[in-house]
Amino acid sequence: MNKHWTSIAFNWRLALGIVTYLLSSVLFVKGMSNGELSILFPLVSLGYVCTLVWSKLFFKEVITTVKLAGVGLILIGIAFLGYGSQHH
Amino acid sequence: MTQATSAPEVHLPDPAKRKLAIFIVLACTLLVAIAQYLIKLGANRLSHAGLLGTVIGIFTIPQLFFGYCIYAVFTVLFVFALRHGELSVLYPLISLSYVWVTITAVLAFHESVNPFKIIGVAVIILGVAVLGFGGGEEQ
Repeated sequence: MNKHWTSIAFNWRLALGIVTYLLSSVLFVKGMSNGELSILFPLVSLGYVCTLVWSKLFFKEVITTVKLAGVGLILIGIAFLGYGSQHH
Repeated sequence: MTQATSAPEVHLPDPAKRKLAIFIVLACTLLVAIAQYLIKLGANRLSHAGLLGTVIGIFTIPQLFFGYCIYAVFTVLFVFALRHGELSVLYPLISLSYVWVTITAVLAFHESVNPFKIIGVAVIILGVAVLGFGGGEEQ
């Protein structure tokens, strides 16, 4: 079984993922330079929820209650941070 | 054995390697924090640029360029960690970088401390701990 690094080089899914990420980060940099920070946190939270959904759909990962609790706590924490950063 | 590309492989998790994957991602959140700080610094210069100007700026503004280089290093390490860990556990762990960014902003750049930030940091750390320690149990 060849799990060599070359399989990474020719792995089209990985390449597509990286390209998609680079595209999104260009938009992100542009948004950061002009945009309101307050919209950042809800969008980040959306990203986490999407990732949970993809994980279950595509990788058949079990979404346990503990995982949901952990992610939920993180989202709540991010919301608090976001609110705390807005009002000085 | 040829690599079947029609469906992603489902790896049987190895507990020791899963712990290593979690540790790698947590350690890498420091890299993410540094990269995000550099990128924010560089992005400040782009407020009048269009989309093409932004792409050019990524290569010409040093903070942006090095910020993305550090992010590239993190990405390689993250992909490596993903081989032995679950996405639903490892991806949210990246949010620990917000804790580092907040602490740095308060200590090094004298941003204000307020209860929301303190609670936010504490709750994120709690969530990361829950995920890191509890995310591996199958039901």
